[in-house]
This record gives sequence, structure tokens and C-alpha cells, in this order.
Amino acid sequence: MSLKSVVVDLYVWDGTISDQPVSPAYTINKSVISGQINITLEIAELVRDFLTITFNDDYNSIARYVRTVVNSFDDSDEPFDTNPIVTDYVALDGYGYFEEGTNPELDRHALISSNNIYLPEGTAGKFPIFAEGVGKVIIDGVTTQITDNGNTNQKIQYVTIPANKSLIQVFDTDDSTIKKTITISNICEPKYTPFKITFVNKFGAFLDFFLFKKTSEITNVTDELFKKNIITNNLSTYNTYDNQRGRINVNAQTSLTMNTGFIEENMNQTIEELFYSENVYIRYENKTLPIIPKSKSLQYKTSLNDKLINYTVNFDFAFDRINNVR
Amino acid sequence: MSTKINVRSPFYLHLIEPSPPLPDYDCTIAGLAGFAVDNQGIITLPSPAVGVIDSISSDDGDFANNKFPTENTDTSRTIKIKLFIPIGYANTSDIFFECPVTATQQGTSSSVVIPTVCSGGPGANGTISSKSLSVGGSSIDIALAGFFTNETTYDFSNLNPNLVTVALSGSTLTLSPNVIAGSTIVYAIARDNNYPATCEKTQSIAVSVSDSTTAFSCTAPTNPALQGGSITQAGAITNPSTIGTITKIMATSNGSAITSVAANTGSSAQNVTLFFNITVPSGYSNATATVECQAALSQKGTSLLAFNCDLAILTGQAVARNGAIFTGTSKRGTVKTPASTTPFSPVDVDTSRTVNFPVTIPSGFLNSGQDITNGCNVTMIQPATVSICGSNNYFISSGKTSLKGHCDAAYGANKAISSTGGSLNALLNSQVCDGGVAFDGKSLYYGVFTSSASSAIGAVGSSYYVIKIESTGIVSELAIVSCNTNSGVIV
Repeated sequence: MSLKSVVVDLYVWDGTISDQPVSPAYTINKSVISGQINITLEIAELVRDFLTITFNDDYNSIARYVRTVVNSFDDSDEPFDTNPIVTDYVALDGYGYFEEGTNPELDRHALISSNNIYLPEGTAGKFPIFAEGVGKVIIDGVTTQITDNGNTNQKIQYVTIPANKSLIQVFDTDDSTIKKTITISNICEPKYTPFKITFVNKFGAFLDFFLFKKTSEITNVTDELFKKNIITNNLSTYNTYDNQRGRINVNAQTSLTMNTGFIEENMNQTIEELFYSENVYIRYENKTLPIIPKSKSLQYKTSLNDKLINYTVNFDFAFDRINNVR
Repeated sequence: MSTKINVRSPFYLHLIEPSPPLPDYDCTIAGLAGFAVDNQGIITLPSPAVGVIDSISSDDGDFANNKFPTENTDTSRTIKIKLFIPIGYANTSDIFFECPVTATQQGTSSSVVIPTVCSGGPGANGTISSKSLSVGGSSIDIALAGFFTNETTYDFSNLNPNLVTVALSGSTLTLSPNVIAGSTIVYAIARDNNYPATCEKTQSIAVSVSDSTTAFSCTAPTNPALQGGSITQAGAITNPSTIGTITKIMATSNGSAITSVAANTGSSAQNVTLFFNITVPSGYSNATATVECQAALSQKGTSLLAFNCDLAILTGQAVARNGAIFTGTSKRGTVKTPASTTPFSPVDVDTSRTVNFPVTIPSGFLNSGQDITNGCNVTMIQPATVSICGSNNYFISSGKTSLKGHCDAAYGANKAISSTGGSLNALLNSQVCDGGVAFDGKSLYYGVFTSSASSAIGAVGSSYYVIKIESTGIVSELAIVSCNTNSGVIV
């Protein structure tokens, strides 16, 4: 009696664990490859279809429950007594690096790679945690108890960092084991206007990143030209104020060139994740606008090589300047 | 707690042949043995075959201060043993399982369970004062010799080893605190050299362990404060374990008291979060306060586990050399003799035999009381039959009904046989074969030679060997016969 085939029902939903849909999102049938004894299925790509990233400075938890219901069948196509095997997962829009191997689960506490957060002086911030894996957060001695009510809309929670705080400690669910310590740097920037970039980081959570120094805006215009016939048929003349060459499909793409200001070498991870993100937003003129990192290469800077580290990053706004949304 | 998937990277399901479903840990598996209550009511805890004892309790109104009172006559005593469920069972997540054990406490005036009732023995000398310990503090030694008279040996009974550790060295009893606070009763026991003909004497020691620097909470001194617990499919609640006392169960925080939850009508188990009011035990800074803690308890679904041969685990089945089938036993369920009990035929070479054994499904599984569909096949090796025939060649004459039956004439001895006997003198009790099978000698007498060349027997003027061969081919008599004498010489 050995494994011959499996039928996997894949459910994906949001809400609580009891909100599972009646019908699976996918049903996958697969047989064992001849000469092998196990079956491998990749489900992340299927699940990702159900993760829709939206951000309007609201820091929603983008997470889904995933349930696999596996029915296995033996050589005689008889079901195994253990059927079905039900396994639940929580899916986030994160990723692992090659070195981290298959099925990277990553940290289950603070959803941030670096150990530093930079905030403008006098400005509150937010940072993401995974509610299932955190018992409490202490910011400068003030404790915030974390509870997980089981709903996907709070699996990722964004803890508010009050203005001008200096240290965050993230504790395991036992409330005694420190899982992450983050240093907050409150930057006084009297000359330039810091801009807040928010992007979906490696863990699938929104992460704020302020660019403190000089920002310049460039608009690149695109258009097409055509020639038109301006002769008047009845007089066989044309007006010299008419344009023989016309311009159509005029639009513009606005770009930003921004500078981080001097940051710790440890922030390289954050910069790297910003470059890899598919969802980046800027808080610009009191609106949250989507942007696309235009810079395609990143030369990592170190304090040894570069002394003081400043990154210049180029972004395009993720829309045309002229509204042509139809 | 669910596994976190990061869906920008692939997530692979690695599906392998499912392992057999795990059985529930129960009292049968726990195998508690050795529970006893002596005539002073002192308890000897049983030893589990599987699992570890966490604590004991009793619904018996007589049970107090970790002992029963003495009784004039034999009295049945039952206590409940709470055991840690080892890893590897279907209900391991329940953490604890409770099993009742019963023993007869010997009467002090008359007893059936012991031939004679004890009398005399050591006496008490005063009382042992209460002892106070602190978590993380020092141990306390008690010199027992001063509290008994006429004793020669000592023992103790401590039914709360999680709270206090007790050790005995000579006549010194040492009490050491552990990591939790609370109170218990420890018994010092004294006996003399004539025990058990004489009675033992006990002295109670009230022990309290305090931890005034710690406030009892849902996460201290143990995290979580509530451990284990479960809910049956029908909704009956088995409380989690805690060092405090659970006084109220609630479906919601600060809600009204409940005693059960709704039955789980689904086929799968589900988690139900309940809230418990716990009265803080003595020894903590917030002693007697009420703390509310929550716990997610697993409630079984309606589906019973299907029983199969992997769970039955058949052992001891065998096929004998003569082909007989041995039924053996099963770890779970009852293995039965196959309906067709015809044994196999003996074989000359080791032969694989597959036998289908019916197995009756035990209780607690789907279709209990019925036999597993299609039974359980067990493949065994039937060993080859060892040849009974020897390789020593002889020649025999025709058979006669008497020892000297051949004396009426001369007879040739030309029939070749084989025997296990290595010489003529060793033929007695040997096996005679013809053509590889036992020779049917019909209980007649045969003249025998080692060679067919000198094969004349009977009235030939010289003595010769005669053997009586039974129908099984066994030589039952051996004689040297001379027809010139009146009788044969049995050798």
C-alpha cells in the first residue's frame, strides 16, 4: 500500500478561520511520478492571486488564510484512513532569499529586517509585527500588549511609535523573550522636507522609510507628431496661423530624485527591500501616491568604504501626469 | 498557530504516504500498576507503563490531607491519577489524561487481604510542627528520631512532588522547595523490625511554600497558568490543570458561568476558547484573589478513527514446521483464528505463507465490535521439515512374525534400506526408511546385514542380526540370532 495520487483542495479567504468558503479556490489532482514515492505541489503562486495590495496611508493587514485539504489514495485508488489531512496557513506577500531555502517562513515577530528606524523629529511612526508571534511591545518603557483575535485583518498589526521615542523591544508570546530590539533615530531636518515612502517589504508588510534630504522633481514629456492638411478646399489657400504639424498623445511622467540622508549601514537591508518591492507609495502633498523605484542598481555602501552613507534613489510616479484613466 | 507562507516565493507541499493515525492515550496504554493504600491510609502511588504522573485527587469524601483515614475493615479506595500524555498520541495536545485506580485499604481490626492484622509497633512522640519554605530558599531538615518511639526504619509519603521535594537520609527527612508556591501534607512513617506484623506509625507534616515576590497571573509562575484540558464531542469540559483553583468557566471574558459547551457536529476537531476564573493559591503576593485566564481547548469532532491493520499491530503469528497456524496476539483489538483452520502441509524447504487473520475492532474506533474488513494479512515462513531418514545403508530379508522365524530355511537379505543408526549394534530405536520415507515394517522381524554380498540368514549355521521394525519404521527390537540355539540374544 503506497501513495499513488493526491487530491488537494486549496481554500483561500480572509476573515476568521471559521469563515472558510464552502468551495475551494482550486482543486489539484496529481499522481506520483513513476519511481518516486512523494508528490510535490507549489501553491504560493495560486494563493498570491488572492492577495490584493492597496494602501492609502491606512496600514491594513494584507493577509489570507490558506487551508489545504489533502486526500491521498493508494495503489488501488483506495483512500488512506488518515484522509483528509487538513493544514492551515497564513499567507503574506513576502519572499525569501535564495540562501534561505525552500518554504521560507521568516521571522514571526517584528516584520522588519533592519534594527533601525529613522523618523523626523516630532513625528510619530509605525512598524509592523506579526500578531501570532508577539506578546507585547515595549517602546521606551511603555508596554503595548498584543492580542490576536484570529482575523486576518489584524494578523499584521502596525504599532504606533510615539514621537521622539528611542527604543523598541518586541517580545515573544511568553512576554519575556525579546525577539527584536529596534533603535529609533529622530532626525532634525531643518532645511529639506522629509518624504515618507511606504513599501511592501520582504515580510509582506507595509514599512515606512523617510528620505530626509534633497528631493528634485523632473517631468519627462512624451508626445507624437502628425501632419495635417490645412488647405481650404474652396479657396485653395491656408491660414498661416494654422499648424501643419500637430501634436497628439501628449503626456508626462514625473520623476523624483531623493536622498536618504546619512543612515546606518544596517539600513542597507531596508534599501534593498525597497528596490525589490512591487508596491511603493509616497506621502506627497497630503496624498498617498504610488511610485515605482526607477533605480535598477544598488551599490551597497559601508561605513568602511564610504564613511557616511547616503543613498540617492530615483522614483517614477506610477501614473501619467495627465489623467487619462478610462 | 499557523505556518506563515510568503507567497512571493514558492511554497511547496511535500506530500508523502500518510502515516497510520495515532491512537488516543488512555488508561489501558497508561498501564498504572502498584497502587496501594496501607492500613494507616497512606498511599503508594502506582507506576505508569507509559506517561508521567502529574498529580492525584480523589472524589472520596474520606480523602483529606493526601491520605485516607484508618478503617476497621477492608475498604475499597479510589484515587484519580493525572498523567502527562507523552508525545506521539492523538490526544497529546490535551497534555493530561486522568485515570482512576482502586485498591483495598487493609482494616485495622479485621482484614481479608492480609492474613493477620498488625498490632503494636512504633509510637508517636509529640507532633512535628508545620514547616515553611520559600521558593528559591533553603531546605529544612527534620530529625525523625525524636518524633517516634521504638522505631527502626523510616519512610515518607509525598503526593505533591511538584511543590516540595522530600528526601530521607537515615533518620533525617529533608524538605526542599521547588519553583511554585502552595501547601501540602507530607507524612513521615516509622516502622520496626517486625513490620508488617507490627503496625507502622505516621506523623503528618504541614508544609507551605511561599513566593511572596511573585503575583500569580496567567503567565506566572507557570506560563501559561492553564495547561491541558479538553472538550468532548458532546461538549463536556475537562478543566485545564493549574496550581490555583478553577472556580468558574465562561464562554466569554467576564461572562456568566457555564458547565459545558455545544456539541461539535462537524466531523473535524475544533478549538474552543474558554475563560477560567482562578483563585490564586496561598503563597503568592495576590493569594486568594481571582485571576481570569483563557485557554483554547480542543473539542473532538463526530468522526471516529477508522481502525486498520497498522493500528492493530499483530504479533506472534507463526506457521509451525508441521503446518499448524498460531494465531498470536494484537496490540489493539482482538486477533482471531482464521476461519479456515486447515494447517499447511509440511514442506521440504522454507516456504512463505500468507495467512489472513480476522481482527475485531476495539472500542473507541469506527465500527467497534466488528471485524476489520478483509482481515489482516500476515506473511510468515513455514520452516522445512527435517528429514527423519538416516544415510546409513543396510540390507534386510523378508519379514517374519517371530525373532527366529527365519530358522526354517536360509533367506537372502537383498532389500536396501537406510537408517539413522550408524552400525548394526546401533540400530535399536533408529529410523528405517525406504526410498526416503519411513519404512512400514508391520511390526515384523527382519534379518539385517551391512552388505548384500553376505546376505544369507536363517538356517545357515551362523548367527545374524534380527531387528523388529514397526509400521513407523522405528526399530523396536534388536537381537543376534543363531538358529542352533534355542533363543536369541538380545543386544
